[in-house]
Amino acid sequence: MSCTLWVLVESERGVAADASLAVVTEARRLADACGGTVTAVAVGEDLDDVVARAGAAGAHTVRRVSGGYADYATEPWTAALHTLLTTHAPTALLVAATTRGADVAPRLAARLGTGLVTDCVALECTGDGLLGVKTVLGGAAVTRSRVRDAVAVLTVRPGVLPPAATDGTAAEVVVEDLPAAPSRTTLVERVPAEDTGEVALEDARIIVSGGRAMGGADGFGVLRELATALGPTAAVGASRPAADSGWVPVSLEIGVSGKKVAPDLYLACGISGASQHLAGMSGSRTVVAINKDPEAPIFGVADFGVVGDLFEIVPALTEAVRAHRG
Amino acid sequence: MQIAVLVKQVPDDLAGARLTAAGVLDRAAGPATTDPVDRNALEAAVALAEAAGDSTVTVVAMGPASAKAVLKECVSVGATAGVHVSDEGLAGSDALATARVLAAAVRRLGPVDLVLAGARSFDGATAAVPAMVAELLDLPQVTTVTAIEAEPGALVCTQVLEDGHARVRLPLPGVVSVDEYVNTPRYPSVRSKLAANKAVFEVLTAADLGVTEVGPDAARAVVVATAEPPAREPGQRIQGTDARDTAEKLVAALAGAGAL
Ligand SMILES: Cc1cc2nc3c(=O)[nH]c(=O)nc-3n(C[C@H](O)[C@H](O)[C@H](O)COP(=O)(O)OP(=O)(O)OC[C@H]3O[C@@H](n4cnc5c(N)ncnc54)[C@H](O)[C@@H]3O)c2cc1C
Ligand SMILES: Cc1cc2nc3c(=O)[nH]c(=O)nc-3n(C[C@H](O)[C@H](O)[C@H](O)COP(=O)(O)OP(=O)(O)OC[C@H]3O[C@@H](n4cnc5c(N)ncnc54)[C@H](O)[C@@H]3O)c2cc1C
Repeated sequence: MSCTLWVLVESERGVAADASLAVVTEARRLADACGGTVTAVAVGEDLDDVVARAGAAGAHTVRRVSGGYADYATEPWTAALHTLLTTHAPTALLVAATTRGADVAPRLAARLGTGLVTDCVALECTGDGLLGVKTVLGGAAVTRSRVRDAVAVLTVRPGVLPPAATDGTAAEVVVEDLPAAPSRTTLVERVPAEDTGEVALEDARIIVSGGRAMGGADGFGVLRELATALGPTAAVGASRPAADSGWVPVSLEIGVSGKKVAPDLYLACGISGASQHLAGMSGSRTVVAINKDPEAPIFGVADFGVVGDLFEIVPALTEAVRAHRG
Repeated sequence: MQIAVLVKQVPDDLAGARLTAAGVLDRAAGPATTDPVDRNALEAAVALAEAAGDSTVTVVAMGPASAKAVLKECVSVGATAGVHVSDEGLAGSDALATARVLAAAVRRLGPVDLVLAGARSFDGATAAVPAMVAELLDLPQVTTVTAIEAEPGALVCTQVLEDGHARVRLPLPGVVSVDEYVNTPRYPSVRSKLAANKAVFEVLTAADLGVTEVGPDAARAVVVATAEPPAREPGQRIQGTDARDTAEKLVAALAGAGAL
C-alpha cells in the first residue's frame, strides 16, 4: 500500500531532537518499501539546520513553520499541525513520544477526531495499512494496531529506533505561512539539564543501571565509574526506589512510570527485575544482571547473569573493561 | 475551587494482566486497584482544595461496576463526591472514546476550575486521555507535571523534558496531568474509610452523557493482532573463582557476543 507519511520534527533553539530525526529515517524506510513519500514538519525558529538534518535523515519534503513558534506551546503547535493535516490529508503523522510529542499528539488527534496509537516500538506497512507495534502490559504482550482514519496519528517510543541517517539528499523545502494561534499557557522558565558531560539515557547505547541495593547517592559512584570505562555512549540509569529516594535525578528512572530505553547493552546492578522496571528496559538487546540473590526475577530476562555482591563485581568489571578497551 | 479528578481502576499487578484476542484488557484476570498515579492526581486536588478553602473535589471514573471501589477509596482520602460512568457498551473503547465520555461527565458537573488526571495509566498507558479531554473541553493543558505551585487564577507547573525541565503557567480553568513524583498521597484513616463506605455515587451510562461513539466498533484505533513477546533464550550464568575472574569472564562473554 502506498502511503504519505508525515513526521513532526521537534526542535528547540534550532537543534532537532534526535528521537524525531530517527522517526524520519524509519518513515523513509517504510516509504521506500511501500512506494510512498516522507514529509517532515519542522515547527519553531532558527530552522535552517533542522531542515537540513530532516532532509539528511530521509525526508523528501520539509514543511517549515516559523513565526511565533519559538517556545513550544501546546495550542499553537496543535493549531498549525491541524491546519496542515486537514489541508493535505496524509496517511499518517508520526511523532516521537518525547514529553512534548506526547503532549501535542493526543490533543491533535482529538481535534482531528482521529485514532491515536501511542508509544510504538516499531512501525509496519502492510496490506492492512500502517501498523504500530506496541509492547504492552510491562512486556507481557505485543500488539499491532491500526488507525481507521485517513490521518492516523502514531507516536514512537524514543530510543527504540536506530539513529537517524545523515546522508540523505537535500529535501524540497516548503515555507508555510501560518500565523501562530494564541497560547493560553506561557513558558515561565526553561532550565536545561546540568551539563554533567554525561550522555542522555535516550541516546545511550550502553546503560549501567542501579537499584535499591546501591544504598544511597554515593553507591552510584561505582556505576558511574563503570559507565565512564565503557566509553562515551554509556549512561547511568536507575530503578524507581533509587530515583524515589533522591539518589539520582528523577529523569534517570527506567520503567513503566519512567523512561523507556532500548540500548544495545543494559547492565542491571542490584535490581530485582519487577515487571514495572522490565517494562522500561525490555527493548534492550543484551541484558546483564548482577544480583546477590540467585532467584531474582531479573535473571529470567538476562542474557548473562552474575550472582554476587555488586560492590565487588562492579569495580572488578570496571577494571576488566578498561583492560579490554586498552 | 471546583476540581474534577479522573481516576481509573487498573489491574493490581501487570504481571497477572492479560489481553483478550481482541486486544482488550481481560479484567477478570486478577485483582484491581486504583491507578497509583491517579492517587497522586487526587492528592494534588485535595491539597489545592484545602489551600483554597470552600472547594469541591469530584472524582470521575469510567469502568465496570467494580470501579465503585475506586470512588470510595478517593472519598476516604478527601474527595467530596464521585461520578461513576458505567455500562457494558464502554468495554473496548479507545482513548478518544474514553476522553469523550470523561469530558462529557466533567462538563455535566458545571463550571470546573481544574481537571486533574494521571499522566499515564498503569495498564493502557497511552498517556493520551488528559490532553484529549483538554481539547474536547477547550481548556489549556500541561501534561506530565512533577510539581505544582498555586497562584491567583493560575498554576505554575513543572514539566520534566528530555533535557532539563520547564515551568509553565496554566491559567485556570485548565487540565493538568501529573506523574508519581508530584507528591506523596495520604492514607485514609479508619474513620474516613468507614465514612466513605456510606458514600453514594451518581452512576451514569454513556447514553446519559449523550456520547454514542463508544466501544470496539467506534474505536478509531484498533488492535489487529496480539502476540506473546518473542521467547528469550535462557541466559548464561557467569561464575569465576573470584570477583576479578568473574569480571574478566563476563567481559570475554560480552565481547564474544558482540555486545562490547
Ligand atoms: C504503579 C507502579 C509503578 C512503578 N514504576 C516503576 C518504574 O517505572 N521503574 C521501576 O524500576 N520500578 C517501578 N515500580 C516499582 C517496582 O514495582 C519495584 O518496586 C522496583 O522496580 C524495585 O526496585 P529495585 O529492583 O531497585 O529494588 P528491590 O526490589 O528492593 O531489589 C533490590 C535487589 O538488589 C539485590 N541486592 C541487594 N544488595 C545487593 C548487593 N550488594 N549486590 C547485588 N545485589 C544486591 C537484591 O537481591 C534485590 O534483588 C513501580 C511500582 C508501581 C506500583
Ligand atoms: C495494552 C493496551 C494498549 C492500548 N493502546 C491504545 C492505543 O494505542 N490507542 C488507543 O486509543 N487506546 C489504546 N488502548 C485503550 C486505552 O487504554 C483505553 O481507551 C483507556 O480507556 C484509556 O486510555 P489509557 O488507560 O491508556 O489512559 P491514559 O491516557 O494513559 O491515562 C491517563 C489518565 O487519564 C485518566 N483516565 C484514563 N482512563 C480513565 C477512565 N476509564 N476513567 C477515569 N479516568 C481515566 C486517568 O487519570 C489516567 O491516569 C490500549 C489498552 C490497552 C489495555
